[in-house]
Amino acid sequence: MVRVVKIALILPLFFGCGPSYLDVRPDKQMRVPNTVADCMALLNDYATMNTRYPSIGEAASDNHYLPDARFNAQDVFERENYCWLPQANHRVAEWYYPYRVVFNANMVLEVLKGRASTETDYDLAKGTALFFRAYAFFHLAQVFAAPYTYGQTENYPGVPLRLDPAVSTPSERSSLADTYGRVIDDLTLAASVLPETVPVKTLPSKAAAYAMLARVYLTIQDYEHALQFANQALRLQNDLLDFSLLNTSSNVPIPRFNAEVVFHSLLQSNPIFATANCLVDSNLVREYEEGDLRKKVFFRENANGTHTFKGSYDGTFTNIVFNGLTTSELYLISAECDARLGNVDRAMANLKTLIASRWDNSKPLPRYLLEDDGDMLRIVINERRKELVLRGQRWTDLRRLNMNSAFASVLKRNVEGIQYELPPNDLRYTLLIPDDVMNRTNMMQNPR
Amino acid sequence: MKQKLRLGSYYALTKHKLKQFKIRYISLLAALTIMCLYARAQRPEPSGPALSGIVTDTTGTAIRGATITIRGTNTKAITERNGRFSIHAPKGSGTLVVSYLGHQTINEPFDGRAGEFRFVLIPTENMLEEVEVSTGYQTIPKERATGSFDFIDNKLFNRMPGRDIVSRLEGIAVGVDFVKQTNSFQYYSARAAPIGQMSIRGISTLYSAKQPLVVVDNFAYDGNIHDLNPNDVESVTLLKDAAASSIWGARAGNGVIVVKTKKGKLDQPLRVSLNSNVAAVEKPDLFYLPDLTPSEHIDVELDLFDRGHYDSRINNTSTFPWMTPVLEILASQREGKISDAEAKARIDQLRTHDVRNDFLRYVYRTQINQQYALNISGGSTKHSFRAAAGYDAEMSRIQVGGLKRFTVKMDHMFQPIDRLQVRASVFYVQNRVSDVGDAFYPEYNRYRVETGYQYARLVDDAGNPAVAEWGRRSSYLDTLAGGRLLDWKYRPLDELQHSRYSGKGSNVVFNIETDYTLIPSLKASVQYRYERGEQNNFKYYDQESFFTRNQINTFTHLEGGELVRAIPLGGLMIDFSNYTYANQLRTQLDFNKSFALHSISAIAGWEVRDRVSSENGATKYGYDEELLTYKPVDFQNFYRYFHGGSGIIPDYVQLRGYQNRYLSYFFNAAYSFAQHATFSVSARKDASNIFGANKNQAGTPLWSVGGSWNIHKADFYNLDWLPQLKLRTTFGYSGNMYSSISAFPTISYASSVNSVTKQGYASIGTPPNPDLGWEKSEIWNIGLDFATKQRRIHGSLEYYRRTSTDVIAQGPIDPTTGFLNLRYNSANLLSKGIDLSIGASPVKTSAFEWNTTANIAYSRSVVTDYLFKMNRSRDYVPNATSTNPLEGKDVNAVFAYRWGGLDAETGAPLGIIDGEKTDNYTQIVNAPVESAAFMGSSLPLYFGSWRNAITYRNISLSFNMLFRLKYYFRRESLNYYNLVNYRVGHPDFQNRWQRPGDELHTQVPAFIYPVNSNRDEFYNYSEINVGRADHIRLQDISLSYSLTTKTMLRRIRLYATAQNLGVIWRANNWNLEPDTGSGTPLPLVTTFGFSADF
Repeated sequence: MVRVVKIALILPLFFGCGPSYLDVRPDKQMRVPNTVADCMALLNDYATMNTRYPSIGEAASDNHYLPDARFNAQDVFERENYCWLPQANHRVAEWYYPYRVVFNANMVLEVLKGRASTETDYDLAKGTALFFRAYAFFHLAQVFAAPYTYGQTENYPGVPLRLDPAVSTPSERSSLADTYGRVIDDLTLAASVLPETVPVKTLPSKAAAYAMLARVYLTIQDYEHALQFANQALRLQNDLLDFSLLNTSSNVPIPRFNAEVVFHSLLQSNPIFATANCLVDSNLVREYEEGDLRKKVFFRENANGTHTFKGSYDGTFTNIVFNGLTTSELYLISAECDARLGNVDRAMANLKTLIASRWDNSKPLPRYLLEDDGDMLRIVINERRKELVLRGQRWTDLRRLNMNSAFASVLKRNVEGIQYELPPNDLRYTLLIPDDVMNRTNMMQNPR
Repeated sequence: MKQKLRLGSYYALTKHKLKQFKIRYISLLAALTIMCLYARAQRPEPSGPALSGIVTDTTGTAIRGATITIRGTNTKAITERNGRFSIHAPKGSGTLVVSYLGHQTINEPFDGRAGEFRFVLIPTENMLEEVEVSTGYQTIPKERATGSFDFIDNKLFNRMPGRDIVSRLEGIAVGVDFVKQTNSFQYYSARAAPIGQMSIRGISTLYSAKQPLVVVDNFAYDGNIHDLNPNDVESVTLLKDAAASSIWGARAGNGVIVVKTKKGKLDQPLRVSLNSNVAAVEKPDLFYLPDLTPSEHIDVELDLFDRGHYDSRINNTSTFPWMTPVLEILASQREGKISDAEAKARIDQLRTHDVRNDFLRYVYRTQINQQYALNISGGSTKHSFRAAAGYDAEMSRIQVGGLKRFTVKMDHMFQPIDRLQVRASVFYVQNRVSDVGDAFYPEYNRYRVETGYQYARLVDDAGNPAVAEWGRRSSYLDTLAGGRLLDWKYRPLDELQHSRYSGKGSNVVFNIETDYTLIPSLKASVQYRYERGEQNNFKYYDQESFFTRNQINTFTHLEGGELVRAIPLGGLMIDFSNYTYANQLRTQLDFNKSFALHSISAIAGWEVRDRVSSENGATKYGYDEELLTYKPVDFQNFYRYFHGGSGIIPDYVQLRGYQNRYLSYFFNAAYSFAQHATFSVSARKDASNIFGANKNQAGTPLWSVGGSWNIHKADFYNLDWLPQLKLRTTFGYSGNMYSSISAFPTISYASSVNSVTKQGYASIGTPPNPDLGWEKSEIWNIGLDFATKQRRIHGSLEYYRRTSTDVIAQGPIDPTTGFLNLRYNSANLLSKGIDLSIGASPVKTSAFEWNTTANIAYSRSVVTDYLFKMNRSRDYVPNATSTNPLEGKDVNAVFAYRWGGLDAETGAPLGIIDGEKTDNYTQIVNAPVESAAFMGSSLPLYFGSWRNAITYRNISLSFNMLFRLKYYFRRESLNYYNLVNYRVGHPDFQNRWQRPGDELHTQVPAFIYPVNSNRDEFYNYSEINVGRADHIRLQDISLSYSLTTKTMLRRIRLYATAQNLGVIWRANNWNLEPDTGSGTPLPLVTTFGFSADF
């Protein structure tokens, strides 16, 4: 009996702790996302969401060139892409970084499904996630899918449209029509829920969603819609930088998050654009007329007469290309669409507003802005190239402009005495999907 | 401010919880004490005769600690120091049972009269080693063990001196391999081997923690293993199979190291012992590292200069990147500023200087490490104690700094009443590390990676620290801002004086253990451990350090000709510290009962563990060390860089907080029949709060069963020459914890706002992985222990087979998911091995003794299943040191591109695809893995040691040789991309193909420009650069002289040892040390020391 009593007294020692004992979070900074605040924290992951869009399109376009010595110093990826070799393959980062944006956006949308739409920042988080997803799909399509024209290439392969965060779903290429349809639907929904002002320009505002819609519609040559959304965006934000107030001798004359920026994003780092490598096409530099401040703001003249680009809207003098949305781009979209749709006066007025902000007050505005010579569209397109230099838009513009023989151009590179050419509408305007992607999926590669 | 608040509330929370814990435990202890008193009051009075006597061995020496019981009752007595016992029999007659470990049991009947007995115990000839092995939960005689234990006694453990416990196990434990393929440039602190380098019986996991679980005095030890003073260690037991380790459950998959510290003994006179030694560690052998000579480096630069490689760099007048002295001379020559002859003369002068000589002379030094240990122990009949202190002082291998460790350990045991034993101990360690700050750390490898031209000077002609070109061009820096900026040049040697790292840490462990014998066969115990550690570190870069100057200048800009500094002048001070608290509690019941021929021993209990840790710190600019003042800076807004652009002033501090909780239940039982056979069973269940451990919480308990049979006790056994033969086998499961992945998507919040957006943010840690499970290892072990007469030859042979299932592996996935790789339960591994250990004493006379031990292990781990499908050669080939599973191949397999020789026309390396030679490198690296060559394992299949000890009177000599056989390594070779872009060379450059015909006597590809990184990758990872890594090394030699006296100084021992004596045989023809990787070989360590016992 005594023994039993003793054992009974010991027994309580052998009951463990309750199940809640193990509910403590092991790492204070780590958690399973489940609140709107978690969603916003993910969308504010700047390095992931804003800085890694595909760079190979811009790298393959014609605003810049590499001297032979610098070309030789590049690795094979950069060299082959630069010369448009048919076999040119690409680093997998060009593909998977934008798809990481898609993953984060899908993750956020998944979490939001379980939250009440009345919660603070719910709309901001939802609109932002939709915007980013569309932004990533669109920029992937500019390099890895063929140009889209209504009635012609609808069924060409677009990019895979991953719409939920599960990693087990196999990837399949959608059609071009589906790709752009999804981009436009997401942006339209985003525009309806996004607020007019956001805490920082790395998050999209309502104006950013409209501006992006304008960029997308311009790309697919739907000029009515492009015009409509460009103007809608401009109604919300239309400030322009006065270039005469910028310090033209500075290496970084244009500050980050300046008044023109509607939405801030960057291409991923590409050695081609390193300030030491990349020189600006001298024919392009010659296009800037007397009094055009952009020549001094955008370019620095080197001792040997060549020009280095220094006009990044990122406010840095590095190899990073800004591809965000700006009011200057909106003025150009609006002017181009008006010119195409026959509203020459309105096109001229918008173009004039933009150019005036770029002009030395002591010099007269260029002749073509003062007297209409009947080729408004050519003027706007020419201005577009001069304004959006190294802004991540040139490749898309080339693909679009090539469809009209009047604006098509043959790109040429001279490397160590060999001339490489890229004729308009060549299959090489659609870049190859990186080998690492092709090896791990059953998707169709782009034709050569 | 916000962060501080958060931190404050966090501490408050922790303290509160701690308090709760303490209250809980103290009340438990109090309850236990009350119960003990109660039990004492209830003790029944014996009614039979008083029996007494003495127990001796066959030589007549008194035996202390022999057990006297009266059969069929709970009455029990233990003999005193003088061998005497007295016992009150509860009944008038019965049988006295006298037992003592290693001796035959005596059964002596008695009748109603009181009597005086004299028992002589006869040693059991047939005993295996008379050792007890500890599992951390119980101590069992090895005779009854069914599992695979490797017991390292005090003498063996102390064969070699050294500051840490782990490296002492190298070469003495069987089946334990040390993987030392690391970059030995890492801070090399006198032989302190990281525990992760140790593998017990091959590989059971791929991405989860690979290190064995360390148990110190019954509790899992999470602290720094190097904090433990080896002078405090009594013995080490390795638990290698399921029966041994399943008791440790989900953390025991890689084996368990059970460390038992020294304790005082009852009835022992006061003893004092002293141990001291001094070790010298050689400077690193920098010339072992493959490179070009300075002159060859200059020739490459001249060549590249002529090809225009540096033109844009030289002409870069926007960022003015730094240039080597040779390039400056060539640029001046081209501009006509200096004559061709002068340029040549100046360049030729540079050719003669090798910066490695400067590093050896001005940066490195021979390390002198000192170690002292003092311990005092003793005991009376009811109380024993031990107090020990240790002090270690080690120099750093660069000329500044070192490490000091001070340890104190106090142990007390007392028996207030017969049935109660209380043991309390305190362990305290204090560490001080001083070093140079890690930014611009003046080590050769860092210099080569970050700056790197081979002909630089560390000291100028006048003997002052010289400028190494770095960052921006010197000629440009000289002209900046009219000299008003801080000096912007980098002098590597200056950093020794002007930057400092200092770490002070302390750790205290408090243990209390209470054992109470409820009834003779049942003991209850409660063990509690409290641990508190803190580490305070700072890095201080004074204003003269390059790090600070560079920082201040970067954040300086000119405004209207005036300098504006965003960072104030003065030093930069970065404080960072971490705190850890841990509470562990275990309650356990031990049951031991023998009746007639049967005996049962069992334990059951539960334990709980809670560990909280946090990190915090501060960055202070404008710091004045004398006045302890600093100047606040703004970490929020952007400030202009001198060279354009802008940024936030860096804040180097990270705040973190962790809390881990574990809850476990365990059970273990063994039944023995007449010392012939033993059957054992154990089970355990673990739960924890680690992310993704949910499946574990719900999972099946881990279990094992085992049996052993002392064949020599069997009736039919008649091999006289082999008096000991035991067969044992076990089967069971153990698991592996992983903490870095989760079934749920996880995000990690950043400590501070993003520097661009100024918004707080979180990054995705892991993608969702809902099918995640936990890893499990099924182990079957069978072993045979044997010994000839007088143990002249003895040993054990074991075979094991371990199947690890649901092993987490990383595999490439569709990048469209947003991830390149995913970790997943995706592999099964099979390890098979044999451990053979043989000891022999070929000569054994009173004056001369020769003992030899050979440990030979065979271990092979193969991937049997792997879910991820990788098909490219590139996924496997350049990945030799990390895990790249392929079904049917070794876990650590080495693959290589097939080598087709050099092209006779161009000197281009050729690969082989479908039997055809090709120079299409993109095709080669993307070809299916089947087209690459499988070379073998990168871990040895056979490994072990051969140890000899020769004693002649007072002198003994011992040496240990290690061998590692049948494995492969990849040597470093020439990479033209690295040579052109980073000035990293290789002596193979001299043998490169230069003209047709060279391909007949060289395999080194021709130099081409522009370079092609795919071509370099192909050559570097082709078959010709893979070789057999097999080698035998002389690990150590020890010579000692010991003297036993009848004076107060009972014993004195003088010793000298040498470690890392080098490779004595190697299979490769490159004269390389295969285990060194890309670093320098382990330096020779020589030690002199003495120990004295009073």
